[in-house]
Amino acid sequence: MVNQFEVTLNGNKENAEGSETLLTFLNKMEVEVPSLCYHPSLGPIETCDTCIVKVNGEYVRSCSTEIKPGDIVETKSDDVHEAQIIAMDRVLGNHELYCTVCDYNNGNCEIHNAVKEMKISHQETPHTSKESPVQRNDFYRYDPDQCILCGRCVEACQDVQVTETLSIDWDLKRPRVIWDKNSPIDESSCVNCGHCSTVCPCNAMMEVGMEGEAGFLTGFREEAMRPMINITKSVETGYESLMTISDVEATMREERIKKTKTVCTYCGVGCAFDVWTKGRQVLKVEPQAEAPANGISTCVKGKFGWDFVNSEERITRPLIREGNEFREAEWEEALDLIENKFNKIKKEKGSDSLAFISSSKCTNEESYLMQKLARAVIGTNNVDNCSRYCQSPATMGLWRTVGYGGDSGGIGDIAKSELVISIGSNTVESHPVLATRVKRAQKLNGQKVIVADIRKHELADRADLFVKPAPGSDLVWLSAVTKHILDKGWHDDEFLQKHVNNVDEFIESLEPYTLEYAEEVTHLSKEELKWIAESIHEAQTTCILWAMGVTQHGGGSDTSTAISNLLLVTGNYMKPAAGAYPLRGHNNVQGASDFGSMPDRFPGYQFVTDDDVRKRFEASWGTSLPAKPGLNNHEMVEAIHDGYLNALYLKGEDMGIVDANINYVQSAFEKLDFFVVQDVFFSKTCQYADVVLPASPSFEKEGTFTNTERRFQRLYQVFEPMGESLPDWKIIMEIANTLGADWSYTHPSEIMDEAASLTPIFAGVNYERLEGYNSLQWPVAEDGTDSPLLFTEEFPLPDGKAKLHPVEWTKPLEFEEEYDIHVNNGRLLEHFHEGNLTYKSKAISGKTPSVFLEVSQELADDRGIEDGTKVKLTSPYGSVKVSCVVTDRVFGKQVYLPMNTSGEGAINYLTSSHSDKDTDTPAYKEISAKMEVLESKGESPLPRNNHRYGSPQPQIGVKVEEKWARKDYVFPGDLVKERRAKKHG
Amino acid sequence: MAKATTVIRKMEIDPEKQRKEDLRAIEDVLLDNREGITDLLKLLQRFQHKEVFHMAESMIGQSDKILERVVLSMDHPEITRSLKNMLLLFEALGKVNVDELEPMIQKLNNAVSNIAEYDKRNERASYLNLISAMKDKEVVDGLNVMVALVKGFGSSTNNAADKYGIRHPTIGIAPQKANKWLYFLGGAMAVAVPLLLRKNKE
Repeated sequence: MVNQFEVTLNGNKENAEGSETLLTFLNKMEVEVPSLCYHPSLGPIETCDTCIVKVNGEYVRSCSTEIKPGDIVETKSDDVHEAQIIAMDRVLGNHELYCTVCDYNNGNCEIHNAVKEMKISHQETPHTSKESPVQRNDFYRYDPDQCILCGRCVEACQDVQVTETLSIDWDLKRPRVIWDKNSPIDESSCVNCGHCSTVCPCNAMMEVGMEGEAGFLTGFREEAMRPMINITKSVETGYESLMTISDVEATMREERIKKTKTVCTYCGVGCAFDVWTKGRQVLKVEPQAEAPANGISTCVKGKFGWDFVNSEERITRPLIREGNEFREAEWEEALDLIENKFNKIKKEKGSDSLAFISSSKCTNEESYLMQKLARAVIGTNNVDNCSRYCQSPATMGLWRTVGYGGDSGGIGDIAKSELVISIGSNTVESHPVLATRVKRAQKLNGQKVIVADIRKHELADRADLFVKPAPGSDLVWLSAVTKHILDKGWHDDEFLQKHVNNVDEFIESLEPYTLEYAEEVTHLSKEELKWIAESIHEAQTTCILWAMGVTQHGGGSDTSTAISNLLLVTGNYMKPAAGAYPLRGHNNVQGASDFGSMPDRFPGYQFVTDDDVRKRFEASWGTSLPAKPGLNNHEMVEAIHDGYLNALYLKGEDMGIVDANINYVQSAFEKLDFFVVQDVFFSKTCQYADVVLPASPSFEKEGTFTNTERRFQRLYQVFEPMGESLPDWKIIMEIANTLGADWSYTHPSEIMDEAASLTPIFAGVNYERLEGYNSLQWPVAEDGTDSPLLFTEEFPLPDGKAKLHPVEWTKPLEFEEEYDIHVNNGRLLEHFHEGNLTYKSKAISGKTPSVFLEVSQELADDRGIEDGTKVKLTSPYGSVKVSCVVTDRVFGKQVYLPMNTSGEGAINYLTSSHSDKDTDTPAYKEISAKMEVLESKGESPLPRNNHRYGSPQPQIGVKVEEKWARKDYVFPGDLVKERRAKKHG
Repeated sequence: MAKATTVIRKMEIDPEKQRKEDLRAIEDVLLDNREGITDLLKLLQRFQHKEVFHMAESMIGQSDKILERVVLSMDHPEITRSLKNMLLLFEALGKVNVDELEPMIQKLNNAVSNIAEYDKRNERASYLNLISAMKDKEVVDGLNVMVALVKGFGSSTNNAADKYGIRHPTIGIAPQKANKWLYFLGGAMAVAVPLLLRKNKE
């Protein structure tokens, strides 16, 4: 029940409610008060003083004042206006108004708008330089002379992104923003996430893509710019003329600059934002507070990693193999060839001799069409997607225990949780924006964080408890903690009785997992295990986040199951801020499976073996469908080697580099009778194709992605497809129609309508409901009601009850003694996977130009390794050559090889075909190798401008108290009081 | 057995065929906009005749240098003050109430005629004539008008500011009835030169 009460606002009685701030109340009442340092996503910062009003006769900052019953609020009196004007005048002393020749003059400059709203015509405090040079790097720039010291950027950096690089040095004669301990940007810990430029109210902190490009009058050379500004300022008779002309110019820009909402195509967080473009040029990415997953947040890739879209390396025409080379061809010829080959192979060897691989980079609609092509046109269930390489074990663990393979809640739930446990997830680098929510909750709200990982990544470094289990032993410690909780009677008995089956059998299965056994196997101490159990017991809500460190093992599904078991035992399902969060790695890895690109399931995880389900699809598609489950990716490679699979159509997946044991995979490609690859770039996999089809990336099409929260979001088309490339859905439709399908989709919304009509959990999904930044989290009822919380009343299993699923530990692969180095692998923040998108960004590559091997100091001392030493790692399956970086992030004989290359350092030359026993997901994390030093001296692969060398300076917010303590600061309210007293005294 | 290859032969496009296609596309555009293009060509002919193109070409070709020279020469107090005065005068003109001023101008015209006539008559000035003129209704009216004028000059500038929206030369509230277009013109003049001479993008 919200507390309502009466207040007096400018002489009128009004109703206020709850514990809102005065500024929120005034905004709600449509009373305009300037508020330059305030940003709804950041909260009160209290640096600018422009929002001063009077409450009960006292001057206060409305952004930080809580409104109380009976308050008498004045916003329009002369003295209030005078106080606001004083504050605004100080702002203008820090910011030069040259709006018309400013790249930020796009109608959203908050200083410009405040000057206009307040009808300010002149300023008393002249603008003066802070006598400090402009700071810049390849991503953004900071102009101290335009900076009003509002501190938004600092607040965002310290408390939203929590990289803790920026601060304002209030001790300087002229305070300004500084990086770390006053370093240049490129020598600081800045990760170029872009938060600062996103929240800056003016042009002080601005994306370099905007510089000299956004305005009609902003491309001046330095020599002419300063006199031009001088003339404009000398000539102006007041700010009205400046405001009017710049408003006109800003309106003209609207014709030229296009702003299109899209969804990021990198990780699974699902950041949505507006892209500002001029022709085919990307000016900037502008996240919006209303974006459901990310709000104002982005990472370096989402904010700045879009150069690949216009890369000259794009494939822009179909390619057809002729002997040992490709030639460019027309679409018609390529499609004819595909028709002939597919028909011939199908006729001679049967439908199941063809297979289809969909992509987690493509849209839901494209995943739907790919499986429809396989099933309805070719007649095979041989269709899969790349979640087989990462997330299938997590999904399996959840299917077994709770029925749905998705996150229990949203990112907001993770932020609100009392305890977050992260297992085998380098989330700060792999899901950067999601990680910011955990870092913020820990920093500001006392959230407890436990990290279990073999590498000390950033979240591990920040954790309240960081444990390093022996590789592949997570199931053991998870089961031991669960058993300890049960033994102590800390389990949620009521929840188990009401919502969970198979409790007794499960408790019995835990018998072997004593603390002693866990200590011996995992190397975690009993104290650590007990501490984890106690933390879960003490917390009202626990979220467990996990990723590839769990799933990419021989027992990946079982460990995922153990996580879900622990959550069930402690009653951490069916409530907000709790539950299971398998963090999805690609933008649409969730949707690729959701929409049926799986060998045994139709869209919405409906079994192909279910006669009723199949009949429904047959009736809609007008054809009979195969009932026998098909091959998954892993089985496809086997089948090619065995000669049962002869043709493969693969889109948006560089399987020849990202699958495990790539020597084996690449030799399978060589055996195919016919291989079609569809991609944006000529990938390693393309090299083996017979036909390569040019696809369009996300900027060049419409559709929907589903993020890790099961959230559908629409992307709108930013550019026309480059050259002859086409959106994947159009290509698949062309192929289907060449084979006689007669599909007639004119827009992806029609594909979604068809999919929703056949899939109960997506029944209410349609494009109208997803307009703009609207989103839906599945399951979605026909009336459009969605499910932010996945489980509320019951679980989608028999009896509506979850099921505790007993599991046994699968020992990781053991290697001969000579393979003494454990090769951990995963992501880096700056690059995405093999890097065919992010290496196209000159700015990103300038910071992180190549892959590198992280080596511990201990191993470095032992083998004579230093930064830049080139080594060769050899496993029983292949070898890689890579340069080293010595770091304390890894320990002993464990090394870390990021997956960001398709060259001689590609991790999958080392990995094996060993896989999760339940899902065939490759056990990428179970690999050991021997190390040989090739060149002892060399240039470090990590240049000095990389953020990893920086020195973050953590603090809470902008430390405004230091500003208030300065001798030259007087609160404008006090100044007005003093003036009035003099006048009347 | 397809071995990995990175060799890609680009499609050879017949230049003649491409040219024909391009020309055809241009033809289509021309035909679709026949009338507009004809008018435009006429206009261009006039420009040609007046050597506008040569001038424009030279200006654009040397735009960076010209801009710098213009801007540097303008960046002097005398120039900027005269521009500012011009804009202020332009603004002041907007504040003159011509409706009310018209009868006054009429009166002023009459007065000027009377002065001319008086000069022609070349009469000798005398106090008696002046006193007898006081009986004249027109003289009395004229004196009343003069008194009103003098009173107007003596009134407070604050009142005038309130009535006519004149700003104080310090930070404050702008006139409510400010003419947006006037501001636009003022601003436009300030930026017109660089707009014409803006540097070419690399």
